[in-house]
Amino acid sequence: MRLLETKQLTIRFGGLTAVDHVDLVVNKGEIVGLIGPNGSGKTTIFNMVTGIYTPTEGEILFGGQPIHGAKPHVITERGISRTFQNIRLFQSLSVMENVLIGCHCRMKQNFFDDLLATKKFLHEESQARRTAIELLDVFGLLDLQHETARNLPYGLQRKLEIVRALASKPELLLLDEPAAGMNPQESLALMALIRQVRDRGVTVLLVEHDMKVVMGICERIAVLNYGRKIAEGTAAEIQSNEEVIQAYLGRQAKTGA
Amino acid sequence: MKNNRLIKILVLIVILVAAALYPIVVQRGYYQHLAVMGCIYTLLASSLNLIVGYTGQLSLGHAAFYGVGAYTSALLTLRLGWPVWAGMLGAMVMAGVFGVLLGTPTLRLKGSYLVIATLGFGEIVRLVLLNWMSLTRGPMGLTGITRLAPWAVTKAHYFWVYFPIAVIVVVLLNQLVNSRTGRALKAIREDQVAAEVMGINLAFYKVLAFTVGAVIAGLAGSLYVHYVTFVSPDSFPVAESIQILVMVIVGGMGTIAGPIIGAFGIVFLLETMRALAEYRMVIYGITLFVVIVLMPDGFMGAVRRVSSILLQRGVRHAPAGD
Repeated sequence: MRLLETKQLTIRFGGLTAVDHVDLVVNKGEIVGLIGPNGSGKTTIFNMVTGIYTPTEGEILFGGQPIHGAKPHVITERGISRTFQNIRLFQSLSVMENVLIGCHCRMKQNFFDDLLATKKFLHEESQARRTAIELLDVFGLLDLQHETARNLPYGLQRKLEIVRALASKPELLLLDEPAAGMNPQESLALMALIRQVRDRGVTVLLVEHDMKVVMGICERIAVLNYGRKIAEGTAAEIQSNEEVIQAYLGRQAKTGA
Repeated sequence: MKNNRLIKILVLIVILVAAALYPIVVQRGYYQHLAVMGCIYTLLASSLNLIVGYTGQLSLGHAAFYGVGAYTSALLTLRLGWPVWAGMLGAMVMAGVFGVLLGTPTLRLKGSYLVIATLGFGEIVRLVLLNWMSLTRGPMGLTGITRLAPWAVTKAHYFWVYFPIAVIVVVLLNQLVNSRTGRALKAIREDQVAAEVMGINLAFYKVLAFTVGAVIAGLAGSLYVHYVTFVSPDSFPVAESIQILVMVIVGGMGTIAGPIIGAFGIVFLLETMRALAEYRMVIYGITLFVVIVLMPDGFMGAVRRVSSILLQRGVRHAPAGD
């Protein structure tokens, strides 16, 4: 079943066509990789899917419904969440608060419930806290719940960003270079974590430069170059595709570097 | 956790009892007057703190909401003969409308551009109050405004009414900033893009912060006019907005106690320095300078730092904002 589909997705910034008629399909339950050289339009696609940019042309369908042009918070409510290439946590807030903010769009109380601490406020708040504690526990961050986000080591900050994104109960999670700055052990742990996320029923679309991670966990991979999709297929297919090797992987890729 | 709450409630009771006794112990009307003004400025600083300290939207137009509240309440009671409590409600509603009016067009503005826009808004409101002669009597101001109540004769009476009002507002704000709404505001302060992607409706929450801040400032304006029974546009210059902002910053932005300490601290500091005559503002300026250099996060920031050192950097034991 198609969860996310882009049709002829295009965005231009002035004279530059950053993303050029890209068709992309992500099926429910898959882990899909999006790779390509720097500036090839991967993050720009993420920004369009999450509503930060509005596409110049083309469509984005989520669960069959168009979402292009919708505001980011509406898209999050629909069930898409993401992390950022350069970590964007709420730095001076606690780990717990970061995750609770992730729960925001699944909480049903209104302003006056919050102001007057009504029954609904208490109920929603304890529910959200339970969700947050469960997630923090699963991902091994529970002991750090009172710590300020800024004080976490880099790897844990990346992890917290994923937990925060999961708190909004997404169907589709977009991960933007989650392995950036990680050593080989950390990357291995990350791969396990991403599989764990998928096993919770969350579909994953992943931008990543670490080919071990991409080839290791992605069931399908799409390759971008200069804003255009130049290939799509399984890891093996991508690794033997001449155009991809030319544009991005280089010769070493065949040996799995 | 339970213990913590008990201590908080005890502290609150002690403060309330001490406050109730203050006008009895301190008989001089002048110091009672300062305490009443401290309550009014607590409302102003706490409400501006919601906008600046929690939502991260720097505003220099807060005196405008104060002025709108003051004039609305004065005119409703004076011209239409409304009772004072209805004037207060009217002041809050009208100031809230102005909060929406300022919050909506400034949604796209950030940093210095937002500051300039709010500054302009404050001036527009002041100039309208100054020039709309038929309604406001311009620079002559409005006199003979109804007192709070027939029985409210002494300054102590006012204090006994205004202090609980300030306490209630602060308690409500404390509840608000630790809720879903408050977290949304803090998320906007920390990172707008991330907040939006986490499902927070930026436009709604920014306008909400301005509106709630304005409603409280409007209440402060109403309390002010029914206390001094006179109002003129001179009470709401840009300098007043800056003064309120200074209270927030010196006390500690983004904390509940900070603006209260800032409000009472500066009201009393400025007055006790009257003996210095013409040196007063110089000394005041130097004091502010030294305070900010020594305590860049304001008084509450310094308290937090000292207490975390005392706790042997016991970061995990610190009550981390929840």
